[in-house]
Amino acid sequence: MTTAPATPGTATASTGSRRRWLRIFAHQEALLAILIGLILIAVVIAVPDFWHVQTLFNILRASMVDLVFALGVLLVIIAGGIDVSFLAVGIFAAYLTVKVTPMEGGLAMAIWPFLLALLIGGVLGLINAAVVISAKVPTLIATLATSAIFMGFLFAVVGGNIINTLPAPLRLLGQVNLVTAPGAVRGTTRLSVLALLVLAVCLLVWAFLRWTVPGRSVFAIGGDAEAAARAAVPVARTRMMVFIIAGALAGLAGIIHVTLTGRADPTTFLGRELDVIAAVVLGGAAITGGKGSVRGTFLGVVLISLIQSSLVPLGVPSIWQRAAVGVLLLVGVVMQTLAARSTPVRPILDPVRPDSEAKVA
Amino acid sequence: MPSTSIPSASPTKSAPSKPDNRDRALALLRRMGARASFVRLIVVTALIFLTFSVLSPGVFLSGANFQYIFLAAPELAILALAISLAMLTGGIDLSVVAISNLSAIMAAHVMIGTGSVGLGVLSALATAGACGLVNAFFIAGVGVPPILATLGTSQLFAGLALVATGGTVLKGLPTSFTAIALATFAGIPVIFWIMLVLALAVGVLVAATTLGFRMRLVGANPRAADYTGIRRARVLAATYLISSGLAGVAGLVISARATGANSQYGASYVLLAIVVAVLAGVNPDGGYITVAGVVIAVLALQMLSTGLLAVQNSAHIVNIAQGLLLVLMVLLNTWGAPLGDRLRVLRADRAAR
Repeated sequence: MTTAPATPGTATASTGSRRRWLRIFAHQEALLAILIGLILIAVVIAVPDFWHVQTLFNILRASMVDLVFALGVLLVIIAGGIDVSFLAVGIFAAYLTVKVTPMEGGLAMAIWPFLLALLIGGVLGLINAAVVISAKVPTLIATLATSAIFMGFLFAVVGGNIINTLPAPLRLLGQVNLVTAPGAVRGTTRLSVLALLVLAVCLLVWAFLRWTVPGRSVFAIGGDAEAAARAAVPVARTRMMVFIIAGALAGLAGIIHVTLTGRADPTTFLGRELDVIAAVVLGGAAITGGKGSVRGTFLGVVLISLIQSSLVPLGVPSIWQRAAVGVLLLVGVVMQTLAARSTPVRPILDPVRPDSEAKVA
Repeated sequence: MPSTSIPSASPTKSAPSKPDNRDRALALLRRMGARASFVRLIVVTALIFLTFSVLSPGVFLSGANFQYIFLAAPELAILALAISLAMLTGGIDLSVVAISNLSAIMAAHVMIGTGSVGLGVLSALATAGACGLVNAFFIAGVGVPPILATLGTSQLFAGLALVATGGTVLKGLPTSFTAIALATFAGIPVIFWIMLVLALAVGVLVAATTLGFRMRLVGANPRAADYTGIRRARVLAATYLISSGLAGVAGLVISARATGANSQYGASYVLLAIVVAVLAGVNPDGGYITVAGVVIAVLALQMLSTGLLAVQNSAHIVNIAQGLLLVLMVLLNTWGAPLGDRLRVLRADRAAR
């Protein structure tokens, strides 16, 4: 993964090596994978116990919810916006769903709350889209407003009490495990069956972005809305679709979180927006739009939860977590900026590189 | 109070052959085009004031209520001024609250350690300046988009603030410092005067100095700024330094009022400060700032929240109302002018018929 593809023959030797370096920088996913590997090696050398299936499950469990949120954020960022309302949408959808789901029922009934959460999330996403498109303001400002409205509405109208007993179907689902393994010290460690759902969602979003016309349109409007409009891409409709899907994904993430933790708490996600956005940006999505990948987002989310779970074994007090994520985020955006500054977005004159597709898909 | 704008497209002076009073009035209205958002702000503020004066005159119109508004407004107004300055140059500063908390914490450590308020204030400003340099390095030096750079630095500064406090509230500030929050001058809290002085200074900076002119031009049209020989990086660096400095002062005001320093204070102020800036009519795309608008918008938001709390005691309703107000104002700012144009065209049609 580290070797960059051959630089174009027209470049001189010195600029060639410089560009090769920059291209490695630009290949953020490879860097992320290397960074994840280095951290893992460091932690395992320091604390051999860390190398255990329990750690893997812990990291996966911690990543699942953030990953689904991050996929929604990824879509909005590729389309050229930045959404900060997704956590409000997620907990709103999940809490309302739990509130209206009948308490009794078998495992099979669990599908309904999931569909309902998707639906509520989609409707809230539509509201976001309506504000963004009709007011023509930056998405950051529009979603700041809607997120305040959603949270206020949740507390004022739906209710703000923590629900400690979930409806039976969700409770049962939360106990279905994909794998159960003996724990590192004692007991057992488990991975919820919902991991499969998260995997399926990742594959769906990936396929959507890569293989479908609406998916390609998301890149097009994020890259240059004007050019996309002239190429007959329905910009407003695509933007609306992006917000609806992002809202639905947030709703799904919310209900997954509630199912996994076994309680619905309206304050769970308060103030964690930046962590998720940081993961997406670390994963190589360009805040200016038009660039981003599911694979990078996955690596970004895993890296952040790896850091959060490995600081303590490494002897760094957990209070440093936030600052560490900040430094990492800054390194990520600086690399992105340097790479964007020195490599053309679309090197028309370069020979077709094998990874040129991978960058956008 | 100065409110400035890049002189926008010259007002259409193509007056009809026989200008009467109504045409002149219309022309005047059009000339105020850039200030239309300001007029709307005044109208909305007056509406909020009138509504709550009618709904709950006993509580809302009391002196205590306005004393509270004057006490609570300054910190938000100063943070909003900091964000507005960044918006003026076409950027945004998401790290202002983190900077204000970090500055307040450093000041608290120094004040608790030495007992000297002056040293505390100095260390707050030094901390804010250092944070501003970090922002300036990433934005002006490396060229990272401001929204990303300050997203990262806000995580970093907030993380450092957390480390510096150990997760607790720093208590035991000297009473000579916390007394600032209680002192009044001419019946109005001193911190409100501090805010007014800062606002005036920002207004003068933007309206009457070379740097201010360059900031406006960089925000209105970065490419034109480049072609006129303005060193954009320097202007941006100065902007984020000043914005950080304001955030540092806001941190001092907050800690004086809260009689402590913490990494969590004012977490919702990032949202509110952006709301204030947009309500005031500051253009998020750059090029226009109104200092008077920022002060009025803060007062409007405070009146809205204290008024709502007087009528119905729920902080969540206030949340909803603030969000709705923001949506309403951005919708008005987007559609107000085109709707006005259409009405004018319709009226002209009818007159011609």
